[in-house]
Amino acid sequence: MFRPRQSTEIEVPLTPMLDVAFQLLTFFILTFKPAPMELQFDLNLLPTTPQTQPEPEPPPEDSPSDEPPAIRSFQVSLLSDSTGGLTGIELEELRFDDIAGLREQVKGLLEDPDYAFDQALIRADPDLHWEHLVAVLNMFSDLGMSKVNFTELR
Amino acid sequence: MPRPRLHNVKYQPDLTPLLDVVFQLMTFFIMVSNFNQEVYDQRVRLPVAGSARPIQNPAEDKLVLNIDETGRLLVASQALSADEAIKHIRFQADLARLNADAAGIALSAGEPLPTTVILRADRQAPFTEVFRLIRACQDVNFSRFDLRALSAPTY
Repeated sequence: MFRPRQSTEIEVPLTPMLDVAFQLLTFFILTFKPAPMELQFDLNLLPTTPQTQPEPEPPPEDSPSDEPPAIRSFQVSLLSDSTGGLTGIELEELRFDDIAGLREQVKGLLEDPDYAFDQALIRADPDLHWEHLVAVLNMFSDLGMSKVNFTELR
Repeated sequence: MPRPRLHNVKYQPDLTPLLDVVFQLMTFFIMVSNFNQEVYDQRVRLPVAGSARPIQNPAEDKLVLNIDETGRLLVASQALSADEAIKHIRFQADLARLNADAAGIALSAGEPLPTTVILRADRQAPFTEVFRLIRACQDVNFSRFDLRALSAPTY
C-alpha cells in the first residue's frame, strides 16, 4: 500500500530579516558622511641643523662665465600679523603683497637658464596660519619645484 | 457563478528581490563608511591645495598627526599639551623602532625611521606650533613627511 504523497512547502519568514535589514540600512544612511578627498605633499625635510644662509647673489650680467650654473636655493619670507593673516612676502630684496606676485617672479627665475635653483627655503612668521604656507607650497609644486624646506622666521 | 470571498484570498508578495536590493545597499554603505575617524579626525579643517597630488600607494607604516586650529596635537579625540605631544611622538618613535626590529630591519642610532608621518594640520593652526611638532618628529629621526590638504574647500 502506498502512502499518499504530502506536498511539504517550507516557508521561510523573510519579513523579520527584512525588518532588520531596513534598520541597518537606515543606520548606515543616517551615519553616512563621505570624507572629503585628501591630497598629499611628499616632503623630505632637512635635519634640524642650524639653517645656513642661502646664496642669493646672482652672477653679474656683464661677466658671463663658462662655469655651469651653481645650485642655489632661494629664500622666501612669509610675513604675518598677530591674527595669522599673510601681510607680505619677501623674496630676497623684493616684496610682494600676495602669492600671485611671488608666483610671477619665481616663474621668471625658474625659466632663466642662468639660474639653477634646486631648493626653496620658506621662512614663515610664527603666527602665520598654516594654510598660507600650504598655499606657497602649492605654488612651488605647481611650478614644478619639489624641493622645498621651511623654517621659522625670527 | 459565486464570487470568491475576499478573506480567503492569501496574498504573498515575493520579498526576495526586495531583500536583495536592501542587502546591496547595505553593502555599499558598509564599504564606503569611514571607519578611520579616530585616526583621521574630521574636526581638522585641512587647507586647500589644488596642486597636491592624490594619495597613491598609501604608506602602511604611518603615524598620523592631527593638529587642531590652536596647534595642539589631537590623539584619540583628546588635545594634548605641548609636553604631552612631544612625549607621544617619542613614544611613537620607540614603537616604530620596535616594529622595525621585529620586521628584521636593523636601524642604527640616528638612522631615519621608515615610518611616514602624515601631517593633518588645521588651516588656521599657527605655523610655530606645527613646526614645533615637525621638529619634534625630526629630533627622533622621523624623516618622511606627508602633508595633507584638500582639493576643494569644505565648510
